[in-house]
Amino acid sequence: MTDQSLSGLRILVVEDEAMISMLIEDMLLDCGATVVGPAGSVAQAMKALEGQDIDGALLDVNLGGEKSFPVADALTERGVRFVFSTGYGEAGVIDRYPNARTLQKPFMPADLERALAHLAAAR
Amino acid sequence: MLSGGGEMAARIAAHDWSSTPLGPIGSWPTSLKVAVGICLQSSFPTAVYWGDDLRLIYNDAWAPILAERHPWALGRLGAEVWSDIWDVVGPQLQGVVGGSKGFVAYDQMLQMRRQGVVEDTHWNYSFTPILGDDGRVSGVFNQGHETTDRVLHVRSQDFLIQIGDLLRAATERGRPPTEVLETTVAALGGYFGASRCGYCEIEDGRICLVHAEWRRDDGVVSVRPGRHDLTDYGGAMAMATAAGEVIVRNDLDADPDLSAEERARFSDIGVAANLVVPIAREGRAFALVFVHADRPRRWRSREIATFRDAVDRMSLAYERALATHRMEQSERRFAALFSQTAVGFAEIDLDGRVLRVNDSMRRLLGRGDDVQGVPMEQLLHPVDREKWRRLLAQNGRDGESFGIEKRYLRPDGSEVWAVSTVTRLMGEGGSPGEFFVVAIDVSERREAERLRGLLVAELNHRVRNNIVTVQSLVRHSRMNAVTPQEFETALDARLVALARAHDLLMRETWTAASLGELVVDTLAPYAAGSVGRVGSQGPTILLAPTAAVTLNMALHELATNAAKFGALSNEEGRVVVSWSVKQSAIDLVWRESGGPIVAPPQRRGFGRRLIERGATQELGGSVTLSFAPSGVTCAFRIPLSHKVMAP
Repeated sequence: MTDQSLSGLRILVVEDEAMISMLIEDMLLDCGATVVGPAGSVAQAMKALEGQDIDGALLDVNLGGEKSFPVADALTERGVRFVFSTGYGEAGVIDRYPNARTLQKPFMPADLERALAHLAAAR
Repeated sequence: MLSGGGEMAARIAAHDWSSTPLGPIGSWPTSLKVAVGICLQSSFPTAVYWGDDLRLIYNDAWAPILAERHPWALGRLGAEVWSDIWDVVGPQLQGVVGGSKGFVAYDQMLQMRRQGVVEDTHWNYSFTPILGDDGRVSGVFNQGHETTDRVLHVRSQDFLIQIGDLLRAATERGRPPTEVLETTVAALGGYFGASRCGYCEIEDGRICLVHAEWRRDDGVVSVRPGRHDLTDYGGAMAMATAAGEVIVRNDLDADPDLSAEERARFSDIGVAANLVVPIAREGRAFALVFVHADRPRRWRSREIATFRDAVDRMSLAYERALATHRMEQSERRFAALFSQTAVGFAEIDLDGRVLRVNDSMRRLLGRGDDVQGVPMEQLLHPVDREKWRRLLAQNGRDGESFGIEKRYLRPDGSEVWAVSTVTRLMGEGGSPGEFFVVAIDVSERREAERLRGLLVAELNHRVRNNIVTVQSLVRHSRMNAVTPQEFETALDARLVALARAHDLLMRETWTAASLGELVVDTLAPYAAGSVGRVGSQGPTILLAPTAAVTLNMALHELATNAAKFGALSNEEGRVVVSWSVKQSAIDLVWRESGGPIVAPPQRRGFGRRLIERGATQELGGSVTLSFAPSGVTCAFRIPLSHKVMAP
């Protein structure tokens, strides 16, 4: 299934639920990516960003009550592209980040791979 | 004396005077001859009363005054001829005879019997003394004519003016409509000198219900109670009445159209003569006014005309009074509705300014009387103003009522949602009048809708995250399993643990779960063996849903491991879970003892990864997992947060 299409890419994963972050981490590792994080909160994500070279990011919108938008803004500032993952649908995200891709949970490994490969291609 | 004297001259000539005190004509004194000569020559109604007993001689013009008493009256005593009015004219004549001065009367009322009925008549007449040959008053020269018609005409005019005044007063605001009927029948009763007068409404073309009745106050019985069938009082009359014809009956007891039974019915209620004027619409009577007399009487055409005129006026006034009354009732109902209803009402002028509001509207707007004169638009939330302007302008073009759901902005800055219906009232002559707004506060519904929307979105979010969680459990159970059997067993156990966490959350409607319950539930399957095999102890800690799911799963992995390799795998081992709060963090320790000698695992399995990930990444704390030979110990240190709360 995987062709290591994300090989060598450093992907920041921001996801608060442990079991979900484990799944995403494994999916990314299967595609050959290097996972930064996973971070479970905005603070953890900001810390992970410090001094790290990152090629892309997957951001859960809702981090147990707080939104991941500050992380998205920091990434935008650095010119790092990202994909949102959410269980809510695009509403609320699209207004703020009209150009951002959104991956709706649940997703297949191939969906994740495609979304992130797109980032890599754009880079 | 008699030549050229007409019919009466011939009758006088033929009369046998010798049997009277006057004696044969030839013997009459000169004064009598002269007087009779003048009488017969006159074209004006003239009579001569002669002698002490006032014998009557009259000319052709006077004869009709006698009516059926002519020609019987010639030569008879005045007192005999005029027995019915002698109480009035007798003294007048005697006065002239005794005094030698003339007498004159204008519009003198005389209750005269004519054609079998006694009626009020009016007369202008004079009595002039005739001096006899001996120089004393020997007779009375009488000239006169009836003025009844003119008197009745004047009375009728006066009466109609009076009716007009009465009806105006009776139809003033606030008077009951029936006052029009009561007033009119009382005036008519008085005008006719009747015994009874009333107003009935007719049902089914024949049943009369008396709505208003006037009675002379000398024991006349009331016909107000009950239902009266017109056909009981003469079929022909009933039909004529129903068709709207006026009924005039001078003497019911002698009426050939009535059966004896019908006559008796009239006499039972004291009616000897009656007059009935129906009030009809499109040729059918729906009401009538009746006048009853308790003795026969001749209803004069002028009186009948006056009666019809009065009934017409009454009927119009009654309709007007009913309409006014309905309007007043409607106004009262509206005023009550306006002031008492829980619905907000507002009237707005054509420029959109508030004219008046009711209490409910004031409450809805959160304002007092100062709202008067304020443009409605300014009371609205700025976002809704454009829509309001557009709908109001649309109404200006098509006049159609419209509904709008909009927010009002209260002076305190809060907003209130209301559903309003706006209708434009018609003003004078069909020109556009003010707007009428009916508003209902729907804030609660709006809030409920908003909450429902949030709940549905939240539910969607949680269901989707749960699916991903299951996805993760499937993947990791597969990775760590050697056989499909192992995979299935591990996955089943984890799904059951996941479901258990949800059960706990459901108890608090998905707001939080208790750590204590979570620990007890996780250990429950192993508590069955011996007393004290498992134990838990700690203060109340509440976990947010995701934290509860993660911690539950972590404890499940520890318990599964203990059952396979640790303290729960033999008969003697124990597991104790204890926790305490120190410096805004929870210290939670899973401690195993009494189990087989522990050897550190060869690889990091799903459980260990989950414990570490959950404690650090998800809950922002730390965890130490030690595989001492005496037993596994897992010590969490988790900071208090909105995910982990010590109440």
